[in-house]
Amino acid sequence: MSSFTFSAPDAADVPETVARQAVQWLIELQSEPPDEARVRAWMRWRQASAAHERAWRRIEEVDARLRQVGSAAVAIEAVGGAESSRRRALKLLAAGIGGLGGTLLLLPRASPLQAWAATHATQVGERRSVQLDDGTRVTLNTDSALNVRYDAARRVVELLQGEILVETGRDPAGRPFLVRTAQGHARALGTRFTVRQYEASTRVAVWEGQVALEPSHGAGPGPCLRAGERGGYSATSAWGPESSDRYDASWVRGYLTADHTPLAVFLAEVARYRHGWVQCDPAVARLPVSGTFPLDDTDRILASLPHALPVQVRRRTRYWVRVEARAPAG
Amino acid sequence: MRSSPMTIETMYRCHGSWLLARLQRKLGNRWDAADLVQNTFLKVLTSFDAATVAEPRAVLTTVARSIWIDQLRRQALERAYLEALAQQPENLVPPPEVRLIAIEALVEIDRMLDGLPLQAKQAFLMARIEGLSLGEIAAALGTSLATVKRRIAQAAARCYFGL
Repeated sequence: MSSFTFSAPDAADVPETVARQAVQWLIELQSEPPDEARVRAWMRWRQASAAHERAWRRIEEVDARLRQVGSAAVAIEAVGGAESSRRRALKLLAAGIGGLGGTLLLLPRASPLQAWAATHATQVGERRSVQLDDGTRVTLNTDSALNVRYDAARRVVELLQGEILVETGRDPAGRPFLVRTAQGHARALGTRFTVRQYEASTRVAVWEGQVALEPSHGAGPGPCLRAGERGGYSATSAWGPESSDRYDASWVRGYLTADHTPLAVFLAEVARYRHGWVQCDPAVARLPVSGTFPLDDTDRILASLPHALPVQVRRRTRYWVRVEARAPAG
Repeated sequence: MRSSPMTIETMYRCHGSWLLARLQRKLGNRWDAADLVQNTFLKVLTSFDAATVAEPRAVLTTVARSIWIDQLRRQALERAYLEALAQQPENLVPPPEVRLIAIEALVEIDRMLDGLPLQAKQAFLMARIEGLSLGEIAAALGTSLATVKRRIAQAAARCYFGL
């Protein structure tokens, strides 16, 4: 059946020896910590020949495709889940495929290379405020990175990953203020607002003033959000305004607030502030969580869950936590 | 059974209804079977020189089977994806156009990683989509660092360079 599969374009342009070297570099860079000397050595290798550069471009191209799935959890679930169901389906041929079991893995994001090159960055679990030259104050949430690109015409903050609260200063020169994300711009009109970079979209919530959303490949200008509203955009389209809620920015004060929030949503938020994996058993995913939780100690947040909900927290390793239905007593 | 050289038209005339009957029996559904017959002949038309096909029924069966498997695979992926999304926190569920792109990407990824051990797929996707370090992946999968390196190298060579 190999005659029906197509090898992806460009792969053939890379000699096998170079391809193997590229794979070795990829593994080197995946090791922690990603120290500067190693990154430099990799860049030298990459620039040493056109074939090296082609190999690495190929990796980046396929990576971009991989990231379109949104999260590894979903990809693993789908590829793994589809595999087992495919086997079942093949056995029964045309018979219906039953429900898929499995659990959801909530993974934090990390791009060490991007963060390494950024003007300002925070670690997982860290939160920090920076004051920019024009008096603008930017607060970075956990695992976030940004570049400041001010010039004579514009004030641009490039959000590489994570989430920021922006409180813009008054610019004597009247330059516009923009937050650039992977999918476009949020243009501030004298204001206080948060911007969060998701895998394939950007979400914006406005507290004061107004913010215009500008998808990079949108058909026209996106919506303008006012105080108390939120919205978002992908590269091609924007949505909003929707009414906002307090949940979005309590992180600025170091708290996570929940108000009848489904457990799975809550755990996804908690996962952003810690290393490793937080799994949520689908059986308890919709249990409502309410309360205010200090972000500085996520272990404590997890430990408090069994007091409020019929769940137990299982730890296989430091990096792997699973919240599941409590085993029946006895 | 050895046939004389033929065109796609004669192949369809001689074996079309045979294939339809056979697929209908397998799938238990006339419409799916008719679709599949059409796609099968389309594929044969674009991928084979009908005149050189010595065993038309064997080729038709093989092609039909591979198309059917691809369809099942796509459906299973789509279902598994939507299933996984349904468990995602509401505010992480992407808009429809992003979902479509994601499903397309999944089909492609699934094909590129086809045949690799599940653990290699898992380690590779954790590394490349989430940027987890080798240590974190080893801990998550409950395996050694050396195994994780080997698995990722195996999946990367396949996925990026078809090795």
